[in-house]
Amino acid sequence: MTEKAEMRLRDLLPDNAQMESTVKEALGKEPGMGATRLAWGVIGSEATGALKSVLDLDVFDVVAQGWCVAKELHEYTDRSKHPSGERSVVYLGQHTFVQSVYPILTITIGSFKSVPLRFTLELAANIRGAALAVCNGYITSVGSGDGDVSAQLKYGSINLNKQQSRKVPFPAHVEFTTPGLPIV
Amino acid sequence: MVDPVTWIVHQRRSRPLRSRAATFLAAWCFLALVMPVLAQGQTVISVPATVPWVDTGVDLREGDVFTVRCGGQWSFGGATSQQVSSRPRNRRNATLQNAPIGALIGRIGDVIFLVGRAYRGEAPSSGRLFLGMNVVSSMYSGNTGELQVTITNVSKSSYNASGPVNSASPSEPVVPKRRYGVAAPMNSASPSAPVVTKRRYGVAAPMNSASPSAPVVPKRRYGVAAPMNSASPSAPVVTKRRYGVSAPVYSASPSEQAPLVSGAENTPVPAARSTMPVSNGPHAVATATGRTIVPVTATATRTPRATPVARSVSKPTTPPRPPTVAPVSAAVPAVVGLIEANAAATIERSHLHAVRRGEEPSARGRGQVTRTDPVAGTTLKRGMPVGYWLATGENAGTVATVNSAVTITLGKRNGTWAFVLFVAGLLAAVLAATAIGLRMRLVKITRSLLRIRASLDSKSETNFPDHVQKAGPTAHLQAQLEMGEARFEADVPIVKREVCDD
Repeated sequence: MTEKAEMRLRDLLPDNAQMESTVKEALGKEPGMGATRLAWGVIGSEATGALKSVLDLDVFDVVAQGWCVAKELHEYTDRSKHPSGERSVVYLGQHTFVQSVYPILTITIGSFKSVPLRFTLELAANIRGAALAVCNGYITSVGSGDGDVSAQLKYGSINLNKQQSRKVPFPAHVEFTTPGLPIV
Repeated sequence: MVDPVTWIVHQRRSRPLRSRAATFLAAWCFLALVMPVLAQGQTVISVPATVPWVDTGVDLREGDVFTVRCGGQWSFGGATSQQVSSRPRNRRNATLQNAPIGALIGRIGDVIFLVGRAYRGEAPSSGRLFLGMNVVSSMYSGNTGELQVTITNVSKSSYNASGPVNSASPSEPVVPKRRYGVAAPMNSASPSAPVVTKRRYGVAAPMNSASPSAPVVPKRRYGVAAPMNSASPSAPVVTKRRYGVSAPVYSASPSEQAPLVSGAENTPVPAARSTMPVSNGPHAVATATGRTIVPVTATATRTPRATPVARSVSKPTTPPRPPTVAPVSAAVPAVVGLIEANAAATIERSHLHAVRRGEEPSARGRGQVTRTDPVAGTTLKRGMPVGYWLATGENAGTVATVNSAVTITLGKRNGTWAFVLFVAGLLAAVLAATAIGLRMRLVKITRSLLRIRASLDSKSETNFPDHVQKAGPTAHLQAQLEMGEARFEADVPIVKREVCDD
């Protein structure tokens, strides 16, 4: 991408101390997590740090992944309708979707490998408008847009943070790395 | 006027944090003492007469004290059936020349030694313990029968329960035997020669007695005895052992004592329970009174023992079974990676309702379940829906991977053991802290005591799927991010489409 939004995914999460305690509580409610919970008690701050490190992504990168699976754009993978080399610009109206990502944390102490902790981060995007450039079934760039996002981190069905909406400062123009993001 | 030094000491002692830390450390030390006892193991195996060497599965280190007790019968060469304790004549071409033919012998590494009916001693070398029959010219054909052998590695216990601890019954006694003991000078003043069990028919005499009438004091290599201050037959004698806490051995009257036969290898000894057998023989081992000594129940597999001393004579009573109640909840099964049909069937078998939520790109093959909601292991009421997603066949890939390491400096040689203690101590800390509300502080103390240092900015390294990190005093953290699905609440409105001609 040529430009980056200022907001990182990790910025939507609570601070480390709060996350550490809430994750520990969540592990306590999970059956068979005794050892993992115990380990978390000692290295919880580092584990929380690792979790947030992996979420150090541009919010816009994750939001753009959502458009790739929109069925309205699926027709652009059909070469009979949109032949190879055709460059299209699609203007999207207001829409809302939730994009999920799964941070997976594996803690290994000595030869004891704990159960991987699979978290779910649901990024709710409320897009008021965006312009997508599509070529050969790929979203190659995004024009000016506007919207706000909120993140909800969960472990299983347990919410680990309070969902708060944050306005996303969309960049004026975003060019994705060639060939772009594939539409599926 | 209060002495300032005294005042400072008083002030320091009155600090609650000090006392709490002391409590924590005491709990730690207690666990450090208790954990090795819990780790003691016992192995029960069968040794057939037709096999040259039977692998016991017991690994010993040189100097480990272990006991072997056996029962049963076998015969050699198709001749007369011999009991274990029988002593047929020796043969030059036997596996162990100076041992009776047909006797039970052991081998650790290249060292072969006589076991007989019962054996107690130190491992002559490190390695796996093998047992077998002492035969002539490796002739095992015609042998019949087998022995049931119980092996206990006493060195794993902090308490060395000496004497006929494992005696199953008075008719099946155990003779403590020392083959590799090294005798030290009687009146050795060296602290490294602390052995001493001296009893002659219950009359204890000072260890370093210079009197010509002083009896010979047998010495055990692995026994540490305190000076026997008893001046009368009825006075108690305190015997310290190297591996354990000192235990008083009460001298009983001569009529109550059953002396061991001196130097009688493989000789049965009348079993003693509350009354201690006392002997002047080299194999005499004092046993603490007041302890109830019971035979260990033989099982077919290796059974860990909780403690060598806290055993009950009475048979364990089976707790009454609770009334069976039909479960109303079910755990979500692990179906990730299965194809849809199998996954749905598995979920339904768990009395849950499988619901397909959709498809998503994944590293898994097309049609395989990528995830479930809720995740596997979650307990739900029966009949509740469990959503699952299938892989589209397109690899979503891992968006990001973060590898990090938290170094726990516990020493390399005993890393695993230290880790066990570390967890035990942590558990104690959490328990104590929960009570006094200082959990976080104690965890910090634990970390500082164990020198746990976090280093999240570790070097990037290649991790393959299912790669298990090397064992060691290091906790590895691996965080990955997988891209999931997008769920649109409504159709995405396309306001305008344009096709660029350039």
